[in-house]
Amino acid sequence: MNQFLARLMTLRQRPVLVTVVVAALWGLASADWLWFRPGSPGVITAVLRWGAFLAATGLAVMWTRWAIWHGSADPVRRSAVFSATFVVGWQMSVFVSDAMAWHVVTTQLARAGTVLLFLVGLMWVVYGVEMASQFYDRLRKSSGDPVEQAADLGGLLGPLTLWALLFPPGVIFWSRRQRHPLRWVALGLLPWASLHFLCFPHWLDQLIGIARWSIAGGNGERIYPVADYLGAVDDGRWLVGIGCLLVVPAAWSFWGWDRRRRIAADTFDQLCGTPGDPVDRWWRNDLDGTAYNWNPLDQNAWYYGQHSRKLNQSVAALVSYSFAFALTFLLLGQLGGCSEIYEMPAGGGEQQQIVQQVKVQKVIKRKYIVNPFSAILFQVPPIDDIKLQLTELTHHAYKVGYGQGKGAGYAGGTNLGKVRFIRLEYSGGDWDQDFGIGADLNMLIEYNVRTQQKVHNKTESRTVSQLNNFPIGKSPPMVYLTGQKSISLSQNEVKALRTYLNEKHGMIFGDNGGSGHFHNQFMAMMRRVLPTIDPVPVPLDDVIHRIPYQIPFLPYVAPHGGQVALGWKVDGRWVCYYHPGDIGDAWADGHAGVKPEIYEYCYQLGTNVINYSHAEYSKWLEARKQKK
Amino acid sequence: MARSTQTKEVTVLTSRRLVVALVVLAAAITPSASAARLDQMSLDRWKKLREVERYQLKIAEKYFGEKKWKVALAEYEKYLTLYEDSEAAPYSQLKWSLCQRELRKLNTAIKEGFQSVLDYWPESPEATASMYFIGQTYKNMGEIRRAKKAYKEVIATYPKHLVAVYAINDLIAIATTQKDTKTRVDLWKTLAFDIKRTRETASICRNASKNLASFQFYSVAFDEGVKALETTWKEQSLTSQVVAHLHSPVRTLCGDQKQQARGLRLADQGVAWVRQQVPSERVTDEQKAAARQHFYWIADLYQSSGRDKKFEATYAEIQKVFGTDDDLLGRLAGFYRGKGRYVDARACYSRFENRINGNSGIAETYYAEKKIEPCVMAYRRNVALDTKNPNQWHSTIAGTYRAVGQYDKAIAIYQELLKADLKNTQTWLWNIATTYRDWRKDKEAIGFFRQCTNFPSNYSEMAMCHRRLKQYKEAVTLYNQIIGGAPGSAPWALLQIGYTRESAGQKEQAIKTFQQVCKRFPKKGEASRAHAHLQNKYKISVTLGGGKKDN
Repeated sequence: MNQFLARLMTLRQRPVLVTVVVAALWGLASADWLWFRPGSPGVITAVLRWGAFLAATGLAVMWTRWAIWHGSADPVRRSAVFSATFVVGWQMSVFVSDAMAWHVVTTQLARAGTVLLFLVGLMWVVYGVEMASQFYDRLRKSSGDPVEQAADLGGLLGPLTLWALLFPPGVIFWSRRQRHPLRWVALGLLPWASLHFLCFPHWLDQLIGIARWSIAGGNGERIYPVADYLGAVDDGRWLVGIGCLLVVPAAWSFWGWDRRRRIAADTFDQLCGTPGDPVDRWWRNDLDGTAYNWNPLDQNAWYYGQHSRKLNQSVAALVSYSFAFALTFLLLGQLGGCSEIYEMPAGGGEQQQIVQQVKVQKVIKRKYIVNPFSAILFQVPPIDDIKLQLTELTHHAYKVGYGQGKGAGYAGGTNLGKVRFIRLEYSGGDWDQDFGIGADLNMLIEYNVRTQQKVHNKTESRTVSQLNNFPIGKSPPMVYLTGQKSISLSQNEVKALRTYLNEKHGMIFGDNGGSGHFHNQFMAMMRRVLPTIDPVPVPLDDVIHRIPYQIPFLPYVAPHGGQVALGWKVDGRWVCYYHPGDIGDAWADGHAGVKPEIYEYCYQLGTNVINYSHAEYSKWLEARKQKK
Repeated sequence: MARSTQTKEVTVLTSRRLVVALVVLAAAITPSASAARLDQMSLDRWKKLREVERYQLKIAEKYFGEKKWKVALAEYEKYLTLYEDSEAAPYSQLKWSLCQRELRKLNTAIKEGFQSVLDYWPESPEATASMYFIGQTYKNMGEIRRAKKAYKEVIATYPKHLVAVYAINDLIAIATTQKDTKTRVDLWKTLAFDIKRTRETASICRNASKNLASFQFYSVAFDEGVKALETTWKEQSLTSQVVAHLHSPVRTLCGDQKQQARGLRLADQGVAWVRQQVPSERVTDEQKAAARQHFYWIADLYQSSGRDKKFEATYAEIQKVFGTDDDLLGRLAGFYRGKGRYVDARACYSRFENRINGNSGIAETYYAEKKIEPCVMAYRRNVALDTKNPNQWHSTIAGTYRAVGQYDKAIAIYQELLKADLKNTQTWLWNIATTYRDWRKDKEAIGFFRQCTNFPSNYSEMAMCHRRLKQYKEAVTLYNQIIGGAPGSAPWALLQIGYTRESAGQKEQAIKTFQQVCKRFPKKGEASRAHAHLQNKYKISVTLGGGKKDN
């Protein structure tokens, strides 16, 4: 014990080493949590994650205390400590709220933290640029040949930083100075695109997910610039086109541009030129072998121009930082869920109805002995008035599931598999209506109680694009989609949904959460996803309405989209079941005030739809196995 | 070479778009198969029934006619139990299946109903119908593959029967959904050219020939299109149909720069063909009118193809050959108005023999140009000319003032009309009230709405005016009167009470009212809106609603 304490004391004397080790562990745990194995892990992983995050949080707290106590210490160090503490604290708060299944809080914390992180980063960028600028200024004042010095100092760092960070603003500044900015942007971007095409394989873009980056366009459509670009350059003829479009006009344009520059420089020299100024010398093309100043950290770099150099440098830094931040954010975001799989619980079951058993209990009433000669007049109850008490029980005559296997489950499932309730996130509306504890989780719990199948301990959500992350054969058999506003899907998202339904054998459980508008939106979405399939009313004697529960009528909370469930059938299988009357509200706590009979049928219908989708998925998996 | 390939690709792409457009168009006009006659029994067979059988069957038929499906189902079942060997047993089984279908038990309808007819009474007329209904039911439940198989079996088994035509028509609907153009065209050809026209098949075959013609015209196969229409129409009605079906393809093709040449070719083919059809004999008035109609069609085709000069030249030709009249001038003026050439249009209208119609046209052109005073002047001329209907023109003038926001002038005219035209007092009162409402003079509007008798519309308008005046109590009283007096509008009125109470700041009462809407009218759209409003505005999910679809 003493030895342990002694070692601990030794570690206290090496705070940097401890910090590095804990930071590395924190990084690994975060990556594991966010990207490698998102969702609920096993007990050991959970303990390890909590250990790493708590250690990092404790260390961050200790560093913060140190920073507060050492108020006179270097403010930069203090700020660095506070920044690092913010990152760790943010991550911890998101992690905790996620573990507590506070989905809305998690989302808001993640969003607010991202904004704050951007601001913190911006603060550091501003500080760095200012410091660097001051440094080069001092250096220039104390040196005989500023251009030479600056070139030497920035020699290694300059070009690399320039091309990595300053490319977009560089093109913008460059084009801003031209008479035909669009042409110059094109001329600036196209060589870069060609270089990219020649040097980097496309699968790399697909792998890192940049191909899925999109921006919102008009009419709710989304534009996928990278994917479109990659699609375009896949065709070899484009190379010829780019060559023709680019090289010849570029050569002429460069010639014209250089000519105009010389004339402008001569005019400038005549009017207000200072021959000693390196920038002025560069503009006059009169450097005589002296290296240009390429260093972006020095405001005297040639591309910052002749006027408002400080402003140009600041704007360039802001644009570059924003671009780099957004790119990093997108790349990290796309990494999420790369290896995600869905596995059903192993087991088996019959496609049979749950038996409704009626127990009859005889209640024999007390027999009254009445004196017929009594002076008191009262009504004598009939002697044989025996009331029957009928109790309706739901009896599991069969296992709920599909196929041969031990316990309730599906033949195509695995021992680690669970039934999960995944809802789709989409833009334009309130996808998270009745989400989580006390809402759709009730349905998942009821499913477990009624079918005895293993279920996940919380409900989840995925974006439509994230459906691409599930491989064929390991994708969710059903996803839930609800809301009451608009549904805005890009062309790629529509394609992802189509692939999910047709190739991955998935199913959408749509639920109108509260408006006729959503009904129209859902119908329009399905028209885009399955243009060759018309919706039909789902028969009441269909399997989906019979197994495991017989649903004699369609229960609903409010008839937002009519009173009939609609379905889209492909090859004899329902690929979409649309409930028009807010079934999710009946599952939630309080059951929207509907009668017990109605919400009980709503649970039964939910059970049927989940079971149907899993059973169909299991059938499909078995059929695939047999084919192989 | 590359350019020609590109052009071909563009042509293919555009053709695809055209085909899609055609498919959508055809889907819109293709009627669903009407199988009404298939579920009726012939009088000869009714005659063969015993009195008791007829009695029981009539009871079942009565409930079927009243759409009480559950009761009808039980009655047909009773008939089958009691008179299993009767002549009407297969018929009863068929109707039992149809009841099941209406109760949305489609699988039961097929397996225990239609299939039973086929199994137990294969020679009966109902077996034929059942075979078709099996296909139709499969289609209704989304089992398209099975539906197609069933329909093909129907066509193969009963090629001459009416069910074959219905089956083909349903197959066309499926092909439309599946965007299978080839199948659609083949089936249209079958219906148009091969099926014998009877009273039952005529409308289906006529639609098929129309759709086929449209398709052929979009594909610039003019002769094929005409052949398709020739199966249904003859002589002048054929010309009329050809022109009617040419307009859309010509306009679409000519509107697309890459397809313009094809569009012009199609239009020229149409014009040449119509010219051939122009009657040579022009002795009687009818013959002259018919000949002139052909020229109008030619001009219309030129207009659709965007050749305005040829259009005008054709009209000049008509004037030269047939002379000028109001009809011709009206058409020409309409063309000028469409092109925004209002001066030319007015020149045409001013040449009208019927001065009233001419002035009316002139007024409309001024109104289109937002020149209100000349427009009113033109209408005023009609007041003087049309001595039989001066009120009509006064009303039009008032409407014009109202449309441009000169409410005071409009009301002054309506007031005059109120005094002058006692027969239509209610109309003028309503117009005055709605004009005051549009003018946001709610107090005055309420006064006039109160004099109107078109309950509950006037009450709802009055309530809305009170709400705008923040007199919420009065509005609620009026809505309550609507609830009491017009049960059909009760859900709407109750919902409005909720909104009114909300505006009045009576939050709790508003919530209770919205919950009442959900509870009292759970199957109405108002319940849906109240439910959504409670959720969105008050975050209340307990709405006391909930219901089920009864059959």
